[in-house]
Order: sequence, then structure tokens, then C-alpha cells
Amino acid sequence: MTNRILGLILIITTVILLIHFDLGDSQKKCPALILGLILLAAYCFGSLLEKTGLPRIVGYILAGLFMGPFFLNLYSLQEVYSLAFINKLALAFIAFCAGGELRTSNLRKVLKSIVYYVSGVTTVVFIGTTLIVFLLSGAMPFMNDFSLILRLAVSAIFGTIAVARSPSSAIAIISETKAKGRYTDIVLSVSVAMDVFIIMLFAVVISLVQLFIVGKGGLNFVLIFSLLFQITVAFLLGFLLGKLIVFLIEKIHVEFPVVIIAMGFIVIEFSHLLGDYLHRVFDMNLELEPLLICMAAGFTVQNFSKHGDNFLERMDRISLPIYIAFFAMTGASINLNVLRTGWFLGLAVFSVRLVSIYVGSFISGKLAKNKPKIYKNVWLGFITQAGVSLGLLTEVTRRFPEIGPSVQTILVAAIIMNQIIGPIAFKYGLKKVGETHVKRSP
Amino acid sequence: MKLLITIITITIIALIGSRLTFLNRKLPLGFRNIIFTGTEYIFIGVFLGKMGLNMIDPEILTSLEPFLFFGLSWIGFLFGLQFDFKSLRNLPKLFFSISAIQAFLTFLAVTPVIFFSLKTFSTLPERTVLILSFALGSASVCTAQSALAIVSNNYRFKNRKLFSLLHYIAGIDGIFALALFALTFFIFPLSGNIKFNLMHSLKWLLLAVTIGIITALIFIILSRVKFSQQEFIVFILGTVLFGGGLAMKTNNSPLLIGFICGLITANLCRHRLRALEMMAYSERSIYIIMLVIIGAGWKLDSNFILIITGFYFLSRLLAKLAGVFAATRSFKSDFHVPWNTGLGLLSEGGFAIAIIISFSLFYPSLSDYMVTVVIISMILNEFISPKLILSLLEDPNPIDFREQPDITKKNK
Repeated sequence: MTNRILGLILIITTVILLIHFDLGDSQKKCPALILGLILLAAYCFGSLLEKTGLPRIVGYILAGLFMGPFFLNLYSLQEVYSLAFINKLALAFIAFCAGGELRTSNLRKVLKSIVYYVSGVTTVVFIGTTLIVFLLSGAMPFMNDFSLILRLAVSAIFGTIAVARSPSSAIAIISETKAKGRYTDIVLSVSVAMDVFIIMLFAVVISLVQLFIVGKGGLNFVLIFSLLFQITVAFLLGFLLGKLIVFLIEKIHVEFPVVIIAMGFIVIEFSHLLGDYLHRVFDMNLELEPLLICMAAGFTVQNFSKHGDNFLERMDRISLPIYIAFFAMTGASINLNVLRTGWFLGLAVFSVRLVSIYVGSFISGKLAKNKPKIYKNVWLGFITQAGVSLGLLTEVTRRFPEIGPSVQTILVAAIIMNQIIGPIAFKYGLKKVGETHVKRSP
Repeated sequence: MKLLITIITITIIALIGSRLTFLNRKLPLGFRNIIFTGTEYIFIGVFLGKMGLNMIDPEILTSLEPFLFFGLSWIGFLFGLQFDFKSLRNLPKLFFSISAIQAFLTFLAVTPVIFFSLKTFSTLPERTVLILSFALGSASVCTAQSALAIVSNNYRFKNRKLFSLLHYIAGIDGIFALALFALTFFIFPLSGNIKFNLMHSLKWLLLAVTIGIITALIFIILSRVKFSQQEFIVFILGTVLFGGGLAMKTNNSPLLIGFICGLITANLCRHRLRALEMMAYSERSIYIIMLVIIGAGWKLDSNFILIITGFYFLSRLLAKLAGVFAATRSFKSDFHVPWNTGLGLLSEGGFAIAIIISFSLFYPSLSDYMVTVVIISMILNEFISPKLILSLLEDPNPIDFREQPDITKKNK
């Protein structure tokens, strides 16, 4: 512990002295320095926090936040954004791992539970959050002049985003705690399935809200069909990518974690570029979900080859720096100004979501005839929220500039709370059901 | 889109390269050595860069600059890790003296030749000529072990002691090259028009040493308690990035800082070998990417530089020859050292490239000159080196690989 504290002091003091004595070129952007600082300092902070029983990833997030512009100011938000490609790489890596963790043999055992949890939790969280936000809409200044129906429509946006989960946080906690078992499988599978489901739900809600806010449109079947098509294509491409990875493993014996991360990056960039191209040239809003492609690829390697465990083991070897960088940068990107303005309503949304998740998962678990140990604790694994929710929020802001920023302020505040509380709750849940530090089968 | 294609291309090259850059026994020795040192990746870079398809254009090269800082910091760290004083003390002092003398004589011979030839054949300003001479002088000192490895992997020979001497010099003279490289930075401040200022230079050196020490201390402190393999990767990656980043921020050399960090770690950290093994494992991919980048940025547009290359090649050859001759005649050895032993030290290899990339980062306007000289000379040297080494060794006989057990089958 002393070594970690010493290390942390040395790292941070070095950068503070560098800035204070103006030893470097203050104008020069140094992504390598920020990345190195984040990796080492967040690692130390995460290790120290682990001693208190909290998950390391909370330490990474907090370290990123403390070193950022709102506390120590060791880097600016712009500098963090300049490292966005690291986030992309990390997300691709996490998506590959998430897909790889899904074993059909395990999924078959928990399929019924997955269906119940996805439908049950989604319904309760969506309705619960929408309803409470609707009731609180009087306290939200931006909705003062809205009609009741419009308020309900906007509340539905809150409800939709509340449904989103964070498979990345879930997979990081599973990796950190070496968890394995039925509870772990359910949380991970539901988080991943929800990632697909939320896109569909979002499309339906958005087209309905558009009808009320902009006054045009309706249930946009073309949009829904196009989304279904995108998801199918994403799965198909993911399957092909998975097969390519299997080929690389079998024939070329590559150092594949590095290659796979690069592939993931390429998939993400390619999806965005293809989306832009189709939009520009054919006016088509078709954007392949790159993370789905990566997940499907990981799933293919795990379930359609004999290299699944080997794949996961090798990916696991390099996972730590990726998780540290990803979560520390997530922390570094937290805008505390948003939290300051939106914390009260954010807290309300956070609380409603928490209660809804508990109720939804309790009922779903009972209906699925899970053991009480599972259905009483599974909600703890569904709290985490991160990338997908923020991505959907950006889309809301883009589509509805008149309400977007206000919705964003409240929801970002709620997401920040979920980001911090979620991993702690999940780790606690895993410990409670006794699925941590299980030796994986060879 | 261009960046995406570049990434795809470099990834594929590194992927295939890290697998295929091995000995092909059917090729002549010189070609094998060129392939072994990865020189061909420079040409892939040339093909993709400004002299070829311009896929890796100057904008992309600028965005890849942080990678060069990272890569150089990695190479410096790895190089420094090899200098564990306890092990070095066990090696003969004679070898060290011969290495040092030949290194400094090479520098003292090549630098003035380059200076006067540049003065004669180019119209470059005097300061530029001086920097180029010093930079090329320090790069000329480096000797790679690749040609020696090729020979020892393919031939049986008698005079093992001579071979050990060559191997030792090739392993250690990078440290002298690095010292001379640091001297160049010390004499010529990094900002274009600044004249020599002792305080400025001392500040630069002090900063490099301090950063090197701090990064080493961070690594040592973190690795003092029990850690997993995953955590060790974080320590290495974090330290290298942190050191490289600090170098970039303070206009310092990542190679030098990395070396200082590695040197201290090698002597104070008990996980030296583990770090060495882990870093050496990934070095090849990093090196290949750096070669592609350096090739991509290379532009040959001045004819005089070809003349300079000729002078560089010849003066280096003669300097190595004379340097080893002088050194071995000054210190008597208990085995026969032929007068032309210096010919066994022509292989230039990766460290010279690392030095040149380091210079290029801070003196970008001189990059093309330095790269041209070193690349062309390196190709020539890698090509002739194995044959020259063979000519030095007594009674070399090719190993008949049909006699050897098939290791790959055994491993399977």
C-alpha cells in the first residue's frame, strides 16, 4: 500500500512540478504523457481503493476525474478528447471480450431468465422513470410551457435512456473479480442483450417524440425496419470477422490481442465512415453498430471454434491497461459543471431508476423461477451506465436542439452517479452471491 | 478515410512482418541479413509515403509523432535494461576498452569527413552542417548484432573468442553512440536558432537525467510488491508512455530518457529480466512500425546527399577498420585478432535508425538528409556484413540443417 501511495505521489508531483515551473512547452499536446499519467496514477488509485473493498474501476474513474480540469488540472478536457481513439480501441476490445464471455452452453441455461429480465426490467424501468419524470416535469423549467402530452413524450426519452446499461463496466468488474456463475452469466447476458434492445426502443420512442415535438412523422416503420436491418448486418459482419479471427489464430499464429484491437478500431471507423457515406450520397441513415459487430465476432470465436477459452485468456492478459485507460478517461471526461447544475433532478432520475430496476428484476426473477439469492441481488448488476446512454443522449440533442441540452444536463448527472455507484453495487452483488474469484475452466 | 486505410495497412504490415521477418535459408547471406534486420519495411514505408502512393502523407505522419516518442522511449528503456553492471563486470575489461576506443575513433573519423564533404558539396548553413555531422557521426558508431547472428546460425567456425569480441562490441557500442548522441543535443540546443548556451544545455541534460530517474523510480516502486502479469504490463507501458510523454513535453530525447530509466531499472529492480523479456517480445512490432513511418517520411530530392552517403559509408568502413586495429594493438589479447577485424562491425542495424529518428523529431528539416545517408549506408552494410564476418573467421563451414532435429516438430 505504501508503495502505491509513494508511486502515486511521485507521478502526480512530477507533472505538477512540470506545469508549475513551466519546464515543458505548455502549448504542446502530449497524448503519450496523458496516457502514461492516466495509466500509472489511475492504477495506483484503483489499487488503493481496492483495499477498502471498492472496485478498482471506481478508482480509475475517480483518478481520471481528480487529475482533470475540475481538481488538479493536469490536463484539459480537449486533451482528453484528443485521446478519443483510445476509447474506441478500448470499447472494441471490451465488446470482443463481452461477446467471448457469452457461451451458448451457459446461455441455454439462463435463456428463460434473460427473456424475463430483459422484458421485465425494460418495462418497469421505462414506465417507472417516464411516469416519475412526468410527475416531476413541473420542477423542470424547460418543460413549463409544454402541454401534458409533450411532457409525457419528453419523459419517455428519460425512460428510454434509463433502460440502457453498460456492458463495459459489467465486463470490467467480472474480469477484476474473476467472477463466474449463474448470476454473472445473467447480468452479462442481459446487459449485452439490452444493448441491442435499447437501440430498437430508442428508435420507436424517438419517432413518437418527433411526432409531438416537431409535429410531423409518426411511428416510423422505415426507421425501425432499417434498424432491424442494421442489427442483422452487424451480426452477419461480426460472424465473418469472428471467422477471420479464428483463421488468424489457426493459420498465422498472430499476436492477436493487438491485431484484434486494431481490427476493432477499423470496424468502428469503417462503420462511421460507411454511415457518413450512405447519408451523404444516398441520404440513408444506416449506421452499423460497430460494437455489435465486435461482440458478434467475440461470440463467434467462443461458440463456433475451439479457441474460445484461449481467445479469452489471451485477451485477458492485456485487459488491465485497456480498462484503466478506458475508465480513467471516462472519469476525466466527466463535466462537473453539468453535475453542479443538474444534480438534484439527476438524483431524482437516478433514484427512480434504482427503485425501478429493483422492482423489475425482483418480479422478473420470480417469474423466471430463479433462486432468491439471484433475483434479490441481480438488480445490483443492472445499475451501471456509461457509453451507450451518453451516445443516445448525443442523438437526442442532435435531433431536438430545443430540449436536448436540458435533458442532457439532467441525464448526464444521473449517468455520472450510475457510473460511480453501479460498479460498487455489482461487485457487492457478486460477493453476496459468492461468485467472485472462481477459477475458470481450462 | 486516409487515416483508416493507413491504420489498416500498417496493422497488416506489422502483423505479417512480425511473423515473416525471419531467416530464409534459401537466400544469399546478405539478403537474409537485410530481411533479418527488417530493412525491407523502410521500402514498404517509401512505397506508402511521399515518394510513393502518398498514403501516409505529412499530416498523418504528424499525427503519428506520439507513437515515435513512445517507440523511442521503448527502445531506449529496453536498451538500458541490458546494462546490468553486475553482469557487465564479469566480462573482460579488454573487450570494453576495445569497444570504447573503436567507438570514439569511429565518431572522430566520420564526423569531420561528413563536415568537410557537406561544406564542399552542399550550400547548407554551417550550423546545419555541424548538426548533421554530429548526428551522423554518432549514428555511425552503432553496430548491430544481426549479421553476427546470421553467421553463427548458419556456420560452424573455430575462433570463438574473436566472435565473442565482435559480439561484445556490437552489443555495447550503442552506449557510446548514445553518449555522443546526447553530446550533440547538449551542444546544439533544440530550438532552431539558439546558439550554444551552457546553462540552457545543462538544464536540458539535468532534465533528461531527472526524468529518467523519476520514471525508473516509479517503475521500481510499483514493482516492489507482488503483482500479476497484467499489472506488470501496466507498469511497463505506463512508464514508457510517461517517460516518452515527458520527453515530448520538455523537448527532450525519449531515447535518452528511456535509456536512463532502463539503466537504473536494470541495476535497482529485481524484475529486470522479466521486463527485458516482455519488452523484447513486443520490440519487433514497434520497430517495424517505426521503419514504415521513417520510410514514409523519407524524400530523396538532393543529389549531393548521395555523395555524402558515399563518404559516410567509406569513412565508417575505414574508421571501424582503423579503430579496432588501433584498439587491439594497444591492448594485447590472448587470442589472434586479425588486422581487419573492424570489417566484422559494419552491420549498422536498428539503433542507428533509432538515433536518426530521434534527431529527425527535433530537427525535422534535416530529417531527409540523415535518413537518406543512414538508410542507404545501412542497406549496403547489411548486405556485405555477413560475407565480411565469414572472411574473418577461421575455417567456417556451413551447418547442414538436414542433420539437425526438426525443432518445430518437436515443439508440436
